[in-house]
Amino acid sequence: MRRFLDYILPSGNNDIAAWYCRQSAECRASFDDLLDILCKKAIWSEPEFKRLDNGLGEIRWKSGGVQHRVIGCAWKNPPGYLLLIGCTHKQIVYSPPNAIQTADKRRRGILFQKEGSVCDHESPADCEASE
Amino acid sequence: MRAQRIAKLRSKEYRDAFVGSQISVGLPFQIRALREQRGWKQSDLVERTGMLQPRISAMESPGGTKFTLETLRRLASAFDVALMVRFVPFSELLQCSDEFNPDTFAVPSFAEDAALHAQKPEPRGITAPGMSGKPGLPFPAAKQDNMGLGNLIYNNTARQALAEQPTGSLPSAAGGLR
Repeated sequence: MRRFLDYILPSGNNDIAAWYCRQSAECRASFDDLLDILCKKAIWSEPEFKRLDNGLGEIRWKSGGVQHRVIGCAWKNPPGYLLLIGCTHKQIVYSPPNAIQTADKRRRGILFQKEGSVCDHESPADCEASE
Repeated sequence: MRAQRIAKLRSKEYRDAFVGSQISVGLPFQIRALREQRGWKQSDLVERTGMLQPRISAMESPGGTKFTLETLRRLASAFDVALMVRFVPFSELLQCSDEFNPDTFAVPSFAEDAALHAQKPEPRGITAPGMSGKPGLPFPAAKQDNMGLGNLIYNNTARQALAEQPTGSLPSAAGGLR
């Protein structure tokens, strides 16, 4: 069973949980289902996962006619995946446009213990209440 | 995860989305698992369904297409498996979702459906003794299995056991748990 972690900003806020709560119910449910499946899947491959440069990868799905991505980094033994930033993708353009650079900066911040931290993946149930 | 999901299902909007995502996200993994189980490439499925390759590719991508019952019927025919569509309580859908594992999901085709072929076929031309000129054939056993074929197939194929593995420790490189 693969473990998912969220990136925590230096301020202490969970940016992944905040991104999650900004999404539509359709997008949230799809993301939840995808993580449920991926946590049991031994080998990740396209189309639901794509390797990027610098040790990054992206979880990919479509909902509401929009291509969604969660960029992160994976490791083995025990298998895990750190969720670094959520974004959308259209043709070759990410939104936010610096999503990959931000993910890489966050990855290096964690890897070299410079800034940021991680926690077990949080998937808030009360997004509507917090809106 | 399950407790979180149950809490989310208290929202009507999320419940409706959950039903949709079980189709749009869950089905692509089922389709790919069935195809790979048979050793087929996407081109084989193109040939067997008569659908175009980009459509097959989209059907194997999470959220890549909107499925219709006719599409699913054609896929079921191509894989030579049964298709069940029925309304269920959320607890049952949640359980199916929890138990689904794309790495172990497998559905035998009709020819390989051992559970089906293990069933003894009922004698043909059953008649009550004395109702025809021919010697009366025996009635089927008085106590028949009342489980329908659909349930039989469902119970033997759709519910895959989920092999739980213990979660390990955090990677030492990570910045520590909050």
